[in-house]
Amino acid sequence: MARRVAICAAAQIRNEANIWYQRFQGMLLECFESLVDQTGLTFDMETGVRNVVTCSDDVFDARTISDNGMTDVVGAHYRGEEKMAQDGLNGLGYAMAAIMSGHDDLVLLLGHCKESQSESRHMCTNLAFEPFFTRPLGLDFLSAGGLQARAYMTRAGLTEDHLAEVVVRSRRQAAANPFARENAAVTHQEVAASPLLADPLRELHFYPVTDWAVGMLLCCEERVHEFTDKPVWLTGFGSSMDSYFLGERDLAFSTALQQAAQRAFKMAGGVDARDVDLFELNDAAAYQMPLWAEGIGLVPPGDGARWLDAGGPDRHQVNRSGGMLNGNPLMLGGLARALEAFYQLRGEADDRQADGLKRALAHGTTGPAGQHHAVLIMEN
Amino acid sequence: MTTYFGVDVADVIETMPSRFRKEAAAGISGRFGYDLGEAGRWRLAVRDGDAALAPAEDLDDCLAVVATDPQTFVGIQLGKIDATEAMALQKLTVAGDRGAFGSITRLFQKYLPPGEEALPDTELVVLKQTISVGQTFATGPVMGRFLKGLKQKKILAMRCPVCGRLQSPPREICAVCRVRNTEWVEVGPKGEMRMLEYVYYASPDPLTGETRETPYGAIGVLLDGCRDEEVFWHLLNPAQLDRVQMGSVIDGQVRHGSRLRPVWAENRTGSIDDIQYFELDD
Amino acid sequence: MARGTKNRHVGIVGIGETKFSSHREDVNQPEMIHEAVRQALDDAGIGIQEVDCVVHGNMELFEMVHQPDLWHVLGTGAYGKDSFRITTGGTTGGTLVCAADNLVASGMYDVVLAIGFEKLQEGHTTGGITNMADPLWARKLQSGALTDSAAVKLIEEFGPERAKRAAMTYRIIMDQHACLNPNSHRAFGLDWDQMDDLMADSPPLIGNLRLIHMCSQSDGACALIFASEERARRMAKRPVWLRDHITVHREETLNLCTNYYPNNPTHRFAAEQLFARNGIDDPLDYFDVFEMYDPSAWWGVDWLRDFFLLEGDAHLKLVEDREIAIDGRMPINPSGGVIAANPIGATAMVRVAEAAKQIRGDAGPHQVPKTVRHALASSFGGTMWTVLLMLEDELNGWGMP
Repeated sequence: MARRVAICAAAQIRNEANIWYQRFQGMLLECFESLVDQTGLTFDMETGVRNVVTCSDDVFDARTISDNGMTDVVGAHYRGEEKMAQDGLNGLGYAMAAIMSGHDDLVLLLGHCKESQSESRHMCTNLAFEPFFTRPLGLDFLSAGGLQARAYMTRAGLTEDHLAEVVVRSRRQAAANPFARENAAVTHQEVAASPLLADPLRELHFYPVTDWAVGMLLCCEERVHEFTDKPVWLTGFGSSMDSYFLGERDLAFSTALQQAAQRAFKMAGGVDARDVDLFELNDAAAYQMPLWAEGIGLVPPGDGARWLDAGGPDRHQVNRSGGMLNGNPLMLGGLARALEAFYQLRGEADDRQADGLKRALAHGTTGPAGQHHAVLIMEN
Repeated sequence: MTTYFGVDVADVIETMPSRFRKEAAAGISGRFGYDLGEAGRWRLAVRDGDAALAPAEDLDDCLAVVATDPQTFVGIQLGKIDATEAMALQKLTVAGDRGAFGSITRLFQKYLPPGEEALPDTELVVLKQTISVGQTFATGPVMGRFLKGLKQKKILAMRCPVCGRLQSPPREICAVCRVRNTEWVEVGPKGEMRMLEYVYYASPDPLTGETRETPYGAIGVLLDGCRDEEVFWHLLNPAQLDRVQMGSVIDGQVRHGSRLRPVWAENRTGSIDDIQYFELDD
Repeated sequence: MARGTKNRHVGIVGIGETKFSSHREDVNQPEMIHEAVRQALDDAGIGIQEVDCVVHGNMELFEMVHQPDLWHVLGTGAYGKDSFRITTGGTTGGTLVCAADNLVASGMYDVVLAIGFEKLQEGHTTGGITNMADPLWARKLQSGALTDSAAVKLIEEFGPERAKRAAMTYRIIMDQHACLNPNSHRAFGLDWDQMDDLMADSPPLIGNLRLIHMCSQSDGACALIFASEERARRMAKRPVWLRDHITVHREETLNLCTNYYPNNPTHRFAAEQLFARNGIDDPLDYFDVFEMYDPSAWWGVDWLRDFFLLEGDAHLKLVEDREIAIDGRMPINPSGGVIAANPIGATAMVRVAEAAKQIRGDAGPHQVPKTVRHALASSFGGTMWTVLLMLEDELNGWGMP
């Protein structure tokens, strides 16, 4: 059996609406310096970091090989660097493999994204649709979300009230997160009255435009003690790709998420959602929290509304960070989820801290209406 | 006349006016020469959306002249020979304004041999689009201060606190030492030329879609105060391309390159264009 | 092997390559990828259901499709499977091989399908490459991947006559190899007696870099199937073992690429590190073939010295004595290399695919005419980034306790 992998340290800047005052390089350098400070890591070819996994996206960065501008600030000069062009949670899964394979002892992971840079992030996500049919229709991740929301809400009996409650809770949780995007607390009425963007999705039902950067140090079992006395073990990872055209999928239940979760659970020793104490689900829109909760097997299919009514999110300790809904950029949502789980498992989650945690689940999505899902199981 | 690939070269030439796509010719005018070896010499005159083709011995008045053998000419028309390949092999040459010539090749409907004028059974659907997404690029404090310096006719560099190397434009970090750069140093503005890229083939600027006029020179200048690898990349006054000398260091022997100075733009906005280019400092 | 030992061995069991060309208007992107995937599966003798994980990569700003692996699920077979998307520019194909190796060696996956592709005709290649430059600075200066620096370096060290002849000799040999490879995009049939004309008349792009020296811009896809040792032995007639790999990137600012500054190219650094940790003192002696990512003939000549840790003019002699030809002492790019075909997102993977074919002995007309047991493959991209990979015919005790 391959050696275990742990996250030893993490760093982030604050999620913000528009980091106009820094380039990506400046954003990442803060994370880089913090990680070096915390762990004393070096880049020695024998004993230090010699491989860096970055997470970014060419279209959002408007730059071919967007990691090319980052090589220096991530410490990858004359070292390896591999760029994840998917939700960053996949970067953690890949970093696990790099260490478990024996190729590397340490992997530094750094991700950045500025949704504020392009004229409209919807123009960017529209480009994920193929040029002949779906792109000219004007589909983007928002409208795809609208289609999925309607399908799911019909199946699970979710109402606008449920959506509003999810949003209100998200803001409340995020208020206790010093790195969360600073948003005003909102009332149910304010959510219900926010402009309709893609029926049934209103402005406040969808995550706001956000800029962010984050970094983590991963290490093999034999050497974690060099960097931390509170390692968070990555015990399971799974991902899955759904079909492409929205009409070919069951938008009201994600089989891809179910598969990803099942594979992650299996790798973690044959556990399931009942063995998990804390969940961070990547909810880009309010309807997604219950939908993804069903996908991972926490909630029976179709029971999302009932689960919300019964106070499920609080009871099951879901999205204590505020979730993606409060604001993380596309591409980094899953990393924000893993980051929260990391702090929670180390007892470093400030006023959001939950008790008695042994195992957490972090989730990331890529593509419209969750075409690709990644699930990570983490333990202390 | 002879046939190539089963096609009479005369037919290809004579059908050019009828295949000319008037609607695509707006704004294009000029004379273009075709020197087709034993298939003769032809002049194409384009004006106000019309094209006239006539045999012509003397092609000196043409904006551009393409010279090739009849077989290559027909092969390209039929899609059997790749034009770029032919150029690389010197089987086709274009003298004069290559860019202008390139623009007229797109004005002709594809030649279909007699009897094949009907559309083929399988029509390949091709979608042509220009995609444009507006961006607002931040400069950040490091690049920001550098660009502000240009506005003030200063070239600034940052120095690494560990190894002392200078970088201009500056970087947030020294890649080698992996520490944040902290010290600002003014360098140049004059220096010597250490590298010259004599560019004949320009890339379109992906931000604007415009293509720089060629030939032009992209240069690495070792500004006063810098040493070794610490070159500053910018442009050379294109009129001086053939007068400048590259410097070098070979086996410890230093040969100094041409001494250059920046030519500042009248109207500076805090961008790379605040320096128009570098020119000889004589 | 690396620092510790490899958790388990990984073999290449299936290879698929489309014909590389500039006229693939007959297929859209997923269809083109599907061709390569089909071939790889057929070559491995397995169905898609045996694949656990798919890794995918390209340079998406060429085709301007965001997250193309989503659309490509129609042709990749990744539906219902784990999948990763890793992109590093020109080195992407090589990085995907490294990733597949890590993923299988880790024990997380038993069978991984790696797919690299590009449809350069659907965009503007040089503009797309220029787009890698800093928007505030270098974008106004860069001209795609074109540079005279390699020529300047060789000419400064060896004089214009010798340097130019060496570059053209290299070019002609690459073309001769391309003519033997039915998958080539460009195979001109160049003759030795054309050498002087080509050197004088091929249209110049930048300085001494002429059109004839420069790589292609191609459409195409490559798919490789990797399996754990246990599965590989059951599946493949002859698995090709991935021994080790190293990735060396560098910062985006380019320095002078001459010999005379304290400037260790990433190629040399990669070779030094990789060979030292694998106990290889004489790479020129050890390897039987090298599929090098050679974006231009000038770089092809220059990098021989770095990759084989040579000094002086030993690399020029290899070219001048035609030792790099398919029947020479160190065959370089029997496939024709990148000058013959360059579907950027796939190109680096094609080097590995071609090196693997050489080891298997089934490369066909461009098979090196000797037993190939140890193969080297390289990738190039970004600002002089290098990925270097070693392939082996047999598991002979390296890397295991």
